[in-house]
Amino acid sequence: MPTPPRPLTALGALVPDCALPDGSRLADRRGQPLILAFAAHAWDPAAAYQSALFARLVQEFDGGAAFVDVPPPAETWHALDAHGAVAARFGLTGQRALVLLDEQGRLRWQVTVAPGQPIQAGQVLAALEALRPAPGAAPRPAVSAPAEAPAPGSGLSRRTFLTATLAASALLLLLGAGTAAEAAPPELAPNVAPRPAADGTVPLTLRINGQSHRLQVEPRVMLLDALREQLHLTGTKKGCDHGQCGACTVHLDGHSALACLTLAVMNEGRTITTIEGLARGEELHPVQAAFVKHDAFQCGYCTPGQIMTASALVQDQQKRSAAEIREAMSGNLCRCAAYANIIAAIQEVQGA
Amino acid sequence: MHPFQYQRASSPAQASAAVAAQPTAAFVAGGTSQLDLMKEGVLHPELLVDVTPLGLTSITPLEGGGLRLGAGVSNTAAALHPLVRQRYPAVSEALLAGASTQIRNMASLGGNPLQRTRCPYFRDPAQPCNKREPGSGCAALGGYNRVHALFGASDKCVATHPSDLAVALAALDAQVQTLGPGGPRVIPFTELHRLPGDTPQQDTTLAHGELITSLDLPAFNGRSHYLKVRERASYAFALVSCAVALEMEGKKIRRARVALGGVAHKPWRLPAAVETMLAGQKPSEKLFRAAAAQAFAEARPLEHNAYKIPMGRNLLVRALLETSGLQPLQGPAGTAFAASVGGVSGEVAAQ
Amino acid sequence: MLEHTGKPLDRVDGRLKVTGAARFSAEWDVPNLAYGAIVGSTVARGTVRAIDTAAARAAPGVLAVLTPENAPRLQPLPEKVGGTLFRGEGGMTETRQPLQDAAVHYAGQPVAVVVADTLERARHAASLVRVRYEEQAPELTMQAASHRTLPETFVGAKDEKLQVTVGDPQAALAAAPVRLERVYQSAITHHNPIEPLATIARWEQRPGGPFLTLYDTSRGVENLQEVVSTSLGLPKESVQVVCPFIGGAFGAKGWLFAPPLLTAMAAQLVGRPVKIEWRRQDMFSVAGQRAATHQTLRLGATRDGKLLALQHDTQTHASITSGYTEPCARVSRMLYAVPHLGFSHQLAHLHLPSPCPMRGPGETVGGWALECAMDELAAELSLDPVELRLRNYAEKNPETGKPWSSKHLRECYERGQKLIGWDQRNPKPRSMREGTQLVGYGMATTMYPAARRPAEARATLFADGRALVQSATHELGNGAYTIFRQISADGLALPLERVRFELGDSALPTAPTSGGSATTATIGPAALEACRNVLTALKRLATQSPQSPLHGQAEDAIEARDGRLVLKADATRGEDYAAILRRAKLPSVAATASVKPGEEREQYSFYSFGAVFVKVRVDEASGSIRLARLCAVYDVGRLMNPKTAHSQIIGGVMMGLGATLMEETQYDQRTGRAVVRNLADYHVPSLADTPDITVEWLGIPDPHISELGARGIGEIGCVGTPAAITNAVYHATGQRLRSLPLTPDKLLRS
Repeated sequence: MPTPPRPLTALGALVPDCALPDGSRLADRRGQPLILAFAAHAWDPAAAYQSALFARLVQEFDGGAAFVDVPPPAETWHALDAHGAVAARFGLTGQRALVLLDEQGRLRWQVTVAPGQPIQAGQVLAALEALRPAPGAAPRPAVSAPAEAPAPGSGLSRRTFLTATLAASALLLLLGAGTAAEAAPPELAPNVAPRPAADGTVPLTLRINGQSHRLQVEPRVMLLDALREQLHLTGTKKGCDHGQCGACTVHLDGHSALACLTLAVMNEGRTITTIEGLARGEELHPVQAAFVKHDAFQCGYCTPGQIMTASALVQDQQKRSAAEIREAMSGNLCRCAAYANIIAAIQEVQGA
Repeated sequence: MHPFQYQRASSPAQASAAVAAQPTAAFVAGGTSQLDLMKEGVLHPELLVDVTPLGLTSITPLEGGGLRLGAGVSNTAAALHPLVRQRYPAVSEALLAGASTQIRNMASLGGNPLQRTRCPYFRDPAQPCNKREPGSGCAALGGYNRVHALFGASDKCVATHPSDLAVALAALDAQVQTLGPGGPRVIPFTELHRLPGDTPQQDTTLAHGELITSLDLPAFNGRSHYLKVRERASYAFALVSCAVALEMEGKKIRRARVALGGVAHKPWRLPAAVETMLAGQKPSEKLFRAAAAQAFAEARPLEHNAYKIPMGRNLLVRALLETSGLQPLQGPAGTAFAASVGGVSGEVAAQ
Repeated sequence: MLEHTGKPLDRVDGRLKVTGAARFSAEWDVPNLAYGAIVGSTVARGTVRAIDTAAARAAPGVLAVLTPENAPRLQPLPEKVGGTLFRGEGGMTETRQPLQDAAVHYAGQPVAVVVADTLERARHAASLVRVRYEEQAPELTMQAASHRTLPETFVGAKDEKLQVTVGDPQAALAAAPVRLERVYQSAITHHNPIEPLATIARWEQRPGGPFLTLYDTSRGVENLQEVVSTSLGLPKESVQVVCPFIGGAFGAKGWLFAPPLLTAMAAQLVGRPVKIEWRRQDMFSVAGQRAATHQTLRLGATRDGKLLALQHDTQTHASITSGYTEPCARVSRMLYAVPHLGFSHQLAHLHLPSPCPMRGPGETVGGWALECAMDELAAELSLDPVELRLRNYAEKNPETGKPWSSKHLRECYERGQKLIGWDQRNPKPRSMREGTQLVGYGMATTMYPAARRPAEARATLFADGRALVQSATHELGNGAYTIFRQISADGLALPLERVRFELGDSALPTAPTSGGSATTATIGPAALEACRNVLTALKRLATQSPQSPLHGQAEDAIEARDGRLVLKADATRGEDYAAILRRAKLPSVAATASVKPGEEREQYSFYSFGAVFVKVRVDEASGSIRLARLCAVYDVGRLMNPKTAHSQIIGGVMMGLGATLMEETQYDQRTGRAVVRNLADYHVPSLADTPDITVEWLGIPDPHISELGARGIGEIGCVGTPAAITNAVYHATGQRLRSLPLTPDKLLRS
């Protein structure tokens, strides 16, 4: 997985003054902790909810924290452009991020979410723990804090810490707490029953979108529920839960399959691809792009499943007739019935 | 779903022994039927033995011209296999007419014939059903029985068997290779499933713990064909379906074997007398109509399924006409449209 | 002025939807989440005598079992919300609050909720709850109903009377030279959006008291906020409903409130956030449905096809706890010039789940009956079906006498005939074949009321030159994010990428439930007005600032152009929005708008129209009917985005196809339990069922509905399609099928 960018400003160092999009300057804001929120170009309408949540955050802090472009208590939250000049100062090029400056304008904390990646809960919590002003206690270094960072506790008010904590919880809530991902898959012991723990759960490693995920699940957990409820990979949808709609389609070893009719434990050692793993970074898979272009969806709920079936279908690069596409795609129900546009989208990809 | 233990099989013998040893154990392969019913609360095994690690995924020619289909072969792989398409088009057509791309990718040939009935009362644990809970009664008998059986039903159960593949295998007299607690054995496909009688909970003649290892298709030099009527153009279970295996001698039929789906608790091979009627005859619509009339003479409709009699008769006639070449296929052979009456897109119809 | 509006832009939420990043209601990652599972009644009528929860509570991970005994007490539902009558005969919704008493009125009614730490554990424990009922014999057929009513109005709307007589239809029928009386029946159908109902409820202690956040699959976030706060006895401000994306609704997800209330109660009981995602099986009992109908159509006409009288009498059903009435005469009351017009709606209360609106409520199946009867009349009179309709063309609303706001139906008939090749068909029934199949052509008129409702919006301009426009409306596939961004960008004279439109949150400015094809006509003008207001505020800032090049100018001498305020007379004199705000040291400036339709609603009758022509193939041997081709032309006003509009219309067409050929829910006639309760047995059309579709629109703006000239398009595609197909089946086979859906058994039986 891509490593998060290192902030250009070291933790604890003074952030150089710069102009903010609202016309003010960073230096003018000293004297109170400051949260800078960066949103990627990819717009997320869940921001309506973010607005309310950030406004509340500010209110609860008694005016102690501010967002750069709206004075508290504001009703709306307007994110900084993650591709903009201010973002570049923090080493950001399109990633969503929250940055915390303390009262003196020093960089105290930064959490970055790479596109398409869930935020790492453990990393955030460890960073916060390191921020905690604990008089008398030996400070633990923050996981990513460089050596030159001043000892946490010095010059750090409780208010800053609490602001950071709240910001982090907001971020966790908004962006989805992912489970820790491991770089290397452990060896799968073939033909051996996983040994259940006392609570009936078994250890399990799933290789999803090129990453290995360690889980501890009951054998009865379906792959679909493992994806959605445990790994928060919610792009794979639950429509009927019984193999009758196709909304949960994923690729298992390159073939389209239904995540609702296979146990998570049956998929150890398989290569699993979900809709989250289809695009290459910012670049959409051709089927995804064609779906947008041909408006091959309306509500978008069945869409990931449609795209997973279609992308498995076109990978052999055979040109199928409309009749063959019709049959091959009939396992994905679309109640908005964008079917005519789905056929057009697939035909375009085939023709390319 | 009830909690259960999960095991990966290490060999067919180990798998069979593991299931045989525990009355509440079951095999799982593709999972598309077994897990579906576990989630519905219809089945609750305490041990699931996953047979997918066994492989059993090869398709191998048999001496004498037959073909062995491993039980672990996916529906997709079998349907698209050149030898299956060439020698047994009915098998390919039946597979492609069933379910969806994704389910065909997951489902295994061994599991497919073992899928349970689509009777809605069987699938709702709050309803009486002798098949799910022996002695609780049959709610379909006096209930909504539009998709139920015309033949061979009992006062305990009027369910039908849902597999498309099974209908084709019955017409082709396939053989089932199994490995059970008593060792390996071979079961004629037509004897794999049973009629409900007083024990509808028992779908097949397999012993507990008996694992299907392959389906063997005997040598066949005739024409075969599968047709299915469903309520939407794809992705629906058969109301009625029909598989025909026709061997010709010159312009005459040497041997005809016909099985119907959607009409009984098992794939319904026509009575020998009806198949014999066709032997030695020149194919004609008149002959086929006479056979169809005879085939449905013993049908016993319920309150809501009498329509299956004209539907089945007509389908049988059409299947025979198309197989014998007297009528063109509805769509290009080898695609599902050949097997989906009326499921014709504008493009296909224009051809 | 409309630079973006009307363009066929890609959906602005397209990328989120194709990458799986669009967040639906069950997908919010709320820490410490617990899971609820429903125990539904196995009987349709009776009383819960005892609930044994011991085994469930002892099961691993179980936190609590919510039953009528320990469930928080709820206040009654409000009588009316947002002008919609909830209670009583003709009312919108189920009035009984969940888990407040022991009575059971339909099978599947929730009687308990099990909450556990994982989904699997909750579902399993739910299967361990044992409920003892005292059963009574349920009434399950309209014939058997002992409780029948004649509701006065549809959901309390004063202009939607359900029992109406204009003139003397009985006498006119008796005197008519040609009379036709037919009975049409339609089955219960379900919306079956692919996203199931789901709610996450999260309680917090806030300084002002308890606060409830609901992430719900609701297309009426404010309605739900009001219902839930009233039910729980909380101030309205203490409940927030969030729903940025809805995975399809089609009439569901708006008016039945037990699912979110149960989740809120469960979360309260366990002191943790709780999620309840409904199983597809349960959607057949709690999510609403289109009621079955039994409609009698009587037409009286002259020999040359002039209608003299029309009587449309409907029997339909509701549950015991709801008075919702399928308003089948919605088409009959307005479509043709008939001097004597009567209609009635009789409601039978049954021990079945509660019906609610479903795409084209009344219009889809009521219009089907009328347009089939018209086809039968045309055959009786040996008239071309289009000609019969032209002879009865209504130049004004026959019920109210008001002129139409805009009607160009003749052009639709004309164009539709050309598209399908109407003249090339052999009009004789059973005369056309292709291969082994019979071929038939059919047509029907379609219509839809063009509603507009009051709404509010807020526009905020930021000092970085970007803007945010907000309203508590919904994205349910209707393209709301896209078209309201287009409209807002036009309203603010900004490029599209500098404007964002937010919705789906009850904290945003007031908007009604998204339904009745009214969202565009309702929210569009509100967004536009809010944009205008914020520009007015900006003009004031500029004209009052001595440093501004616009200082001292009259506001009406200034216009907005390309993100700048400029003098109308001299576009070189002006400055951009950001400069004005920066100088004023304002991070942003915001304005709201509250708009509602005006007197035009009293002066005109607002409807959209269309003509649907189809070709069907009938395989008589198997009884299978397939729609081969559909050509339809619609008069729906100006389109905001032809690309998303096209999708919406073909989606409506396909839902009409489903209702006609395959969709049907069955309940066991003895027990009242759903026997069609999954998507394998309930057939929604698949991709393979898609015909060759050509849809066109006239694109003539409605001059009276709003300055945008846009009427709604969400439902009109669904209406008309069923009758066109049914009439084509008659043309193909010579058989009149009068019972939906037209499944193979019906063709083989008749």
